[in-house]
Amino acid sequence: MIYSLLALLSGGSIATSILLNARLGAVKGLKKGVFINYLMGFAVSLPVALLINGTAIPNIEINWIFILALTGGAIGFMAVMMNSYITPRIGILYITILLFIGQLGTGVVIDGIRDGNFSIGKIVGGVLIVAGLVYLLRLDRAKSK
Amino acid sequence: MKNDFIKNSGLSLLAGIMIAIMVTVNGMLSSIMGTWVSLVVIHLVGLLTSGLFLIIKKSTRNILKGVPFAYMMGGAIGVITILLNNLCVNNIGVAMTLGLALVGQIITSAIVEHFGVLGMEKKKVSMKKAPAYLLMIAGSIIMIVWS
Repeated sequence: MIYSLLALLSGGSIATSILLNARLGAVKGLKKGVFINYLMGFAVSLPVALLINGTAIPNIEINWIFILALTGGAIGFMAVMMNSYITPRIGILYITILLFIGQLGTGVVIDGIRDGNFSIGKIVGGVLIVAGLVYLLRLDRAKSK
Repeated sequence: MKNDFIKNSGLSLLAGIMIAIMVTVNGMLSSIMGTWVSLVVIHLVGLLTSGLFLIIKKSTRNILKGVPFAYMMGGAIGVITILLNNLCVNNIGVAMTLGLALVGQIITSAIVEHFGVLGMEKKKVSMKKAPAYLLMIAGSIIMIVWS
């Protein structure tokens, strides 16, 4: 339950940063905007980690799983670039719908592979959420016509 | 115009697939290196990737010049996003983490538009939208209860 609440909260942080990053991109351009984004993230996370963990470097085994796990920042870079490029062209609600279909579809598959079975609840819940999104979109479109 | 729409729709879907993969691998890194160190590493990798891109594009001058401080906070807020995602994904899975995040995102967007903050055009939340929000809340509850 607590994790469900945290996941909802993460959505709030996503909406806020998407808006700010779009503004940042408008001032500095996409490439520099994304760089500033990671620079700020690094500048904030480094002192926090030092404060909590000290300077001890975790003992890790370097294998292909670790190398794969390292790619998140690079994938995020590409996703943020694409986000900032698409959002002004397609609108925040539309991109949200398509992003979500991509995310949830992939998420269900990854969870299914990891857990060994596919959750019907996740699919049904996801479809309802998409239905709600599409409903919102149609209302917004009708209003702007 | 129509071709642009199809292209941008395809890119949006692809970005969604990439985000799901990103959340998964970030969660993996978090279990390998620990919550806080992994946050630094994820941002360092992003910083190096985007920095390399700037160097390749020969666009390294005046990077921080004239940036309003508030606009820089997107990156700081992004740390919170990744932290929360890493905590959630190893406990409730990728689909639920992203599904509930989406609902949180929509609620936040509605609030932002309703009050017209952050420079967004003001759009009042009307009762007409209630069924949409109810569907999303129902979907969230089903995800949480039935999985």
